[in-house]
Amino acid sequence: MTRRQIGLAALVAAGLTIFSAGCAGAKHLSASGTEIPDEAWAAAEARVREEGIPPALELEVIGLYSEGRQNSVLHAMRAGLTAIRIGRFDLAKRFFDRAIPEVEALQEGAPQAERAKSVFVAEREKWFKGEPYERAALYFYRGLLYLRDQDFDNAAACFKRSQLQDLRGEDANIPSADWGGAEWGLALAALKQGRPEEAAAALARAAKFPSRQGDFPAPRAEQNLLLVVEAGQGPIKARGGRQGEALFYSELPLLIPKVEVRRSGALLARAAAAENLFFQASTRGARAADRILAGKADFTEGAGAAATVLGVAAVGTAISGQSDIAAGALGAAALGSALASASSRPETDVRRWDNLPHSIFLIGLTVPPGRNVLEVIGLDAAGRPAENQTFDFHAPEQPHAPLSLCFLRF
Amino acid sequence: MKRLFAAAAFAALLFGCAETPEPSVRYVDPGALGEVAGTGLESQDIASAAQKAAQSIVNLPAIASAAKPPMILIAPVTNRSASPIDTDLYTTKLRGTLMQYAPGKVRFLARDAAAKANEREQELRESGAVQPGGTAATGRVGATYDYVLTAEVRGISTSSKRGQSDWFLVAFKLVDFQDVLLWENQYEVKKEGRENAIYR
Repeated sequence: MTRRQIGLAALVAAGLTIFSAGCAGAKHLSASGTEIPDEAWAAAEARVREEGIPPALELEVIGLYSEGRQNSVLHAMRAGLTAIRIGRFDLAKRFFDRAIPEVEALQEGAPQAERAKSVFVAEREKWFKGEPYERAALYFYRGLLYLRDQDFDNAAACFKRSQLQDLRGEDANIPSADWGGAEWGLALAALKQGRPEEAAAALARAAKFPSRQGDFPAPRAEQNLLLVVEAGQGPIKARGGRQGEALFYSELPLLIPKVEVRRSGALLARAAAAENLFFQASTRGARAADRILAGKADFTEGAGAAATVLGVAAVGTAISGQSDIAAGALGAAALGSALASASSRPETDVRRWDNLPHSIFLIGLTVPPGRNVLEVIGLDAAGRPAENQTFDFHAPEQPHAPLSLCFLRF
Repeated sequence: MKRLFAAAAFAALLFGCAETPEPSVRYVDPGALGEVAGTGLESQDIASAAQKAAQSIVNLPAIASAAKPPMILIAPVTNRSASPIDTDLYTTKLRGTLMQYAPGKVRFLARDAAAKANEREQELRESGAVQPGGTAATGRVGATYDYVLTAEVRGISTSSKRGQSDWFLVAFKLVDFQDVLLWENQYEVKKEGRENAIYR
């Protein structure tokens, strides 16, 4: 090849690279990595505009409307939490209520779930329902929204359901259903309904949980403000193992293990986190899905090894000139094995509810009617103020003031 | 040389096959009823229980032999189960079912539905802004009830690695104005379901 030819080839290759990169950038990919048809994306965009979805939620809601059931729960979870943070509780309820029936739908025998077990189908193609900590978080946040609506019946139901979703594997040395935050919420809902025994039972259970991060004050019936303080980044899912079949969690350490609330400098409450989501995710234990994925990884490796051996044998036979037919047969077998290996999808699903916090603090307060300027201070491990936020809370004057909820994020 | 070329082409084919195209995705309405469902309480469960309750209520001597159809106030459904439910919707469903299965035998008070509108109308009548049938308003007296019908949902829910089980008890009570329990009946719903291993 001449120098001119090499230069021309390089130019063509560069042009092709730029062209293909340009094409790739124009396509919309789903959370599962599949291409979203332009018409589906456009229809979702139009619907989002029509519904007046706030800009902060647009992308997730477009995903919700355009990616079908494969990712509807994922986008609904993310959109619901963002909606809470921007004060659009109506939308938060709508999105969470859309996710809940999908999470509750049991999938034994469902074609989409059976398909995801196939060696040639990636786990990320199953309809996303989240891992137990994500499902528990869904009910936990929905429970908080019911508290805000003074619907203590359904709040309690959600907190109970949160615990039911928190399942661990047999090898886990920590029991299932150990969401301290859910028991705290259940206790508050029970107190608001005049059932102190139920509240005491919930708090007694929470006191024994290994997930407990420290002391946090118990709720009281007369409290009129619940501060929900979210801090840090939620668990990050990562692939490990020989073929990416193993699911691991990584953590961005929490910098504020305690939070205190002050009014005019006076300490009102100090609390450790009621819930640590990284702890909940990372103590899950073995999953049945892990065995399925390990089987897929074994297949991938086996087929790959067979392809190598058969391929080498085919080349050897061809070079030695022993038999064209034998070389062809070996080549075909190698090709089949290689195709099987290359087509297998053992990698674990790392789609995640990515705007969950690392930890959640729950602080119940009784504040007098009228304006209250409250300072919320995040304390570092040494107990020094690390971050703070100030906000105004106007407590209603009425004698039986409703419970107000205030969401803050560090 | 020809054979070597063929082997090289074969190897290139292998690399080409490493990136298989993604399978197509089927787009369906996420709100559509799926092929599988959960174990939670659904509106048809409440309707079924309400239907049985209505049949039982109309056969009560106090109802069946009453000189005129008694007035019943349906209290909002309360939920003490581990399954969040739309209690307003279920209350409406309960009332609708009872109306359907106990026609003429009882009357229902719909204070939740109309009290505010009626109170506002009364204010308008008193101010003279509106007049019923062209005559002056004489004041509104809202109806009261003879019995209160309560419905409470309780339940026991369990979950395991294999699936989920929900047992619900829908308890109806008919109580008179003196807090005397006239009638109580309970209906059970139990649902079990298995989860696919890929989700466990």
